[in-house]
Order: sequence, then C-alpha cells, then structure tokens
Amino acid sequence: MMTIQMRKFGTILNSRPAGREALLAIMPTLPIPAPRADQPALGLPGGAAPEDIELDFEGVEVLTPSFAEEFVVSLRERYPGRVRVRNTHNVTVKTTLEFLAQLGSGQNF
Amino acid sequence: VIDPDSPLLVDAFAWATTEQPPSYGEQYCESRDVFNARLERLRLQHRSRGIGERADLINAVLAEVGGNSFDHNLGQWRDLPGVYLGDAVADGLEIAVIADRGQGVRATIQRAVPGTLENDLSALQLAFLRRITGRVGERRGNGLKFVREVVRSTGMSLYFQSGSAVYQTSAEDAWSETNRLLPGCLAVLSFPI
Repeated sequence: MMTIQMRKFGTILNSRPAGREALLAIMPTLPIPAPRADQPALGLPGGAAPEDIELDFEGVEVLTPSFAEEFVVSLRERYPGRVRVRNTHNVTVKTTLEFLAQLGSGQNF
Repeated sequence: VIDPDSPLLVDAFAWATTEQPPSYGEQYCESRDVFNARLERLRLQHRSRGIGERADLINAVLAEVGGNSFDHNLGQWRDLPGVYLGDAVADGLEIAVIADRGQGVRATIQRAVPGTLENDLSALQLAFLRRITGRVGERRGNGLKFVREVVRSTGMSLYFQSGSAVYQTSAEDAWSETNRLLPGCLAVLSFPI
C-alpha cells in the first residue's frame, strides 16, 4: 500500500491548477497502472498484485471539488478500485468527497 | 436578507460594470495567487470570530466561485483580469462578495452546449443545476453545483448574477431577471455570525 500524505501539497487544497500540479508532481512515484483488458500484461515482478494507493487527508483544512477532481478523481480513473481515503474528518474533505461520490465521480469514497 | 444598497455591494457592482475600473485597491485581486492569499486571510478572520469549521466551508465555496472566474476567463477577460473580493459585517451577517469583469456565464457555457442558449437565465440554470463545463474537452464542471448544495445545507445565502440573470438561494431556489445588467459575474455570500 502506497500512502500519500495530502497535507504535503498544502493544507488548503482549493484550486484546479493546484490539483493538476499536485498530480503531475506525484505521478513519477506512483505504481504502474494495471494493464487494460485489451493490453498485454507486461508482468509485475513475481506476479505481485498491483499496489493500492491510500490518500491520507490528516491536516488538510480545505478541499474543494476543483482540486479533488483534478487529483483524486484522476487517480481513481487511473487506478480503478485501488484508491482509498482516510482521515476525512475535516468538513470540506468530507463534503467534497461525498459530493463527488453522489455525482459518480468519486465512486464510494 | 442582503441589503442591495450596502456600500460593499454598491462598490462591487460598480467595479464590475464601470467603463474604467480601478486596477488597484484592497479588494482587487489581479491574479489567482493574490485571490487565494486574501481568501486564506478571510478564512482565518472567520475562524477568529468563532464560527469553527463553517469557515472552511465558506472558504471552499468562495474558492469555487472565484476559481471559476480565473479558470473560465483566462486570456478572455473583457478588459481587466482578476476578481474583486470584499467582505463586511452588517446586522449580524457576514457578507463576502466576488465579482469579475469576464465573459459571463452565458458566453462561457455556450461554448460547451449544442444550439443557442435562449437567454442568460437558462445559462445560469444550466451552470447551477446540470453537470456541464464551459471548458471544452474538460469533463468537470461541478463547482457551482457544489456551491449550491453547501449553501442550501448550511444556512448560508447566495446571490449570483451574470448578465440579466439572477439566482438566489438559501433553503429554496429563486430565479429572476433584472434590467441592471452585469456582463461578468457577481456573487454575494452571506451567513450569520
């Protein structure tokens, strides 16, 4: 499991460009996405299962849909079923993730 | 109830509609960085007044509204880039105002929908009620729906005008038209303190 401390991108995560920049910054460290059904499996070492990603929102004070769509939803699309969230007790983190889940963008955060 | 003749609203409306807007002043944020910095100052100010986590929600709502101004008008401002961000306290209400001199909701939304939008009001209803973005090729466009949902569920009030269209919401939605035109956008968020 790979854990991303969201507060390392700042405690106020409230703009679309910031979300996009954060995703670009973290991209080189992310696990290799699982191949699509129509792609040949290249073979992970030892046949290991693809690594899950955990987003830890501890310390985040503001999260908006604009930032979350660029970062969280984009990650969910790249790693379907493998992105989890924790420490979502801040009211904006909770509200934003629930709002996106309702729209089908976040799918059961 | 927001007093439309309050000095803050009169100033914001004038800034958004006058031919020669002042490109300086405490309320003028010429870039997103300035806007975000002032927004954070406002959040800390709200927190110091003891409204707790509502300060974070208010920040999120204002960030979505102001962020839209920057996202949708990049390279397409009518003249002066940036937004007006002002705040005031009156009669137990905290009021925050964001205005811009951009293209307005109708011109922005028109780029992303087939056919011609009937009027400013139908554009505003699309923006607040349907998932759509004015940025072609981008699948997003949930900011104003989030704003509506948070305002309606937390005891805040919102007045939003673009062109001749006006949307007001608190517990219920109200849509109307005005002959006091405003080509860009004006948002007034109020909440008890």
